[in-house]
Amino acid sequence: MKPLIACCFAFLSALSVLPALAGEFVTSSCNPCIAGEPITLEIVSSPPLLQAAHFVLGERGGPGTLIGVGTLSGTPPASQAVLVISSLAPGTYRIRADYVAYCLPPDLCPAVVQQTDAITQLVLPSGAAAAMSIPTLDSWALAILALVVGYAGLRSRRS
Amino acid sequence: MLQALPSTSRDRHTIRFRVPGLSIIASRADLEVLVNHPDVSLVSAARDLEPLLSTSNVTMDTPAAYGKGFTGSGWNVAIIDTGVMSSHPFLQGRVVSEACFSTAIPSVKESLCPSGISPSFGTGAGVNCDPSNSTCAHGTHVAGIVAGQVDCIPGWSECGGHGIAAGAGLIAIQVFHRALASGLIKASDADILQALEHIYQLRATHNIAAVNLSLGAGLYDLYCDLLNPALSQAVENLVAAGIAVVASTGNLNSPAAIGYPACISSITAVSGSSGDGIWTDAPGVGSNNSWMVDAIAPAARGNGYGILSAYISFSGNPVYAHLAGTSAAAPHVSAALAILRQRFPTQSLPFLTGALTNGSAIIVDTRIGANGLLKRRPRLGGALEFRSRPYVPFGGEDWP
Repeated sequence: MKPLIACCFAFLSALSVLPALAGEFVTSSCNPCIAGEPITLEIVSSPPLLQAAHFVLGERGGPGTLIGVGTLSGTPPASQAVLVISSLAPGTYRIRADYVAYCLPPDLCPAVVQQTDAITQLVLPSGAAAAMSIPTLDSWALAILALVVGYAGLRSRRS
Repeated sequence: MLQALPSTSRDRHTIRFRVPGLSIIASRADLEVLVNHPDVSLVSAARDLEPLLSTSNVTMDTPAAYGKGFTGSGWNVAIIDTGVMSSHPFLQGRVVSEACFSTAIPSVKESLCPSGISPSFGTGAGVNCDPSNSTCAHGTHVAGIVAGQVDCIPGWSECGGHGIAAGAGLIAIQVFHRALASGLIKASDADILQALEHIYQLRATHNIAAVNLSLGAGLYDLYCDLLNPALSQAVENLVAAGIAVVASTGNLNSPAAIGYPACISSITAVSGSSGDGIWTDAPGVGSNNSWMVDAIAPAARGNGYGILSAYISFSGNPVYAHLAGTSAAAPHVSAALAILRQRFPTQSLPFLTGALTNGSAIIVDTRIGANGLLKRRPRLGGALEFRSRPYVPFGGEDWP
């Protein structure tokens, strides 16, 4: 029974970490991801309310480092903002979205940049681990082709 | 001038500015030469600005006020917001009055007053709304910037991070509701109007220096008094009673328009700075600014960093967090006004807002569309030394 209880407590703990506001959450197109390859970060809002959104390295409520500005899916209030990045080095990251909510009178909103919860452990394995985990047939084929071409070139110069 | 330096400092790292000045990494011997050079009027050490209240205090020159015994003591700041966690260690003993105005409309919005009863008054009425929604921690963060009590926050390396007016009291008024269609936490200006009128009544029993409104919506490039004339009148009543109404300008990065209600003419509109410039973190997120802005105050450093103050975890525990925005800028000015009220208890409000400009730093908005707009960021050392000049009717003064 003990392992089962531990499992359920862990599950409850995960449930308690809700998005910053109901309806706003940040996702990534892959996890784990491959260092150097594009990763699409996305903040989704339902109903649409985004005025502007940034993706930031850091936890909700804490300091952060700007990764980049999300592109809104349309004229504010937008339902989505995305950012494609490929510059993250291998490692483990926690990424949140900082956003300004679209707000018009008579309703008023806090004049603060809202924050979503961070993506849990966005992982980019190190180069060796990544190479092990990815089908590498295409790159091997290219390498063999390059060797063949090189060999053929050498042969042609000798003749 | 650089040729006069005895060592090789000038070769190491020199940055020339458009204004007459330069930045240099210099040896002690070089500094002595520069200090005594006839072409040098001032040498000052470069400072790395951090986005914490410890450095906000430096930016606002709070130590100069505290050194003279002015901490806002005896005066209160009303926080019209998402409520205040009065039991937070950062705010312990600061909340002196509480109320809640959060009107429910069936199938439209849900009241977030305690037990859903609006209005509510008395201890606990102005507590933060639902902690599982991060917006509800907003008012506690704002209150911490005004009157936070802890110098060295546990788990954070910085000390000196108390609120700007640590001696001031807080009047906590919760005005936010939950919009049922979107689930968002918002405020109605009808509820804010009730809060303003409540504060007007409270002035009979409490010394109130300022009302802080770190909220808003929309963009206006002209005064917006006619948007809600009743609200504008309630603001004017408070101002006539000597109570400043301070509002944040919003975070849409506009260089020429500000949000409502900051656009009301009698409100003290506050935009935000990061370091020594207008806060422009990135497109779409940054301080709104315009000719209607009355003061600038710290909002963030940029790159997602904000001001460190009290916060509430999802589970309702007291924690600390960085938040950025003009929401953080406005309470710096509200707190400064509490300190000035302690110094000048009987002076008029125009005198106090005039004092805010004395010895202040000038901040230039360099964004396209701002046309180099100049605004002032208060420094309390200078503000406390403000002296009004006697009014001399035109023609009654001897001109040189």
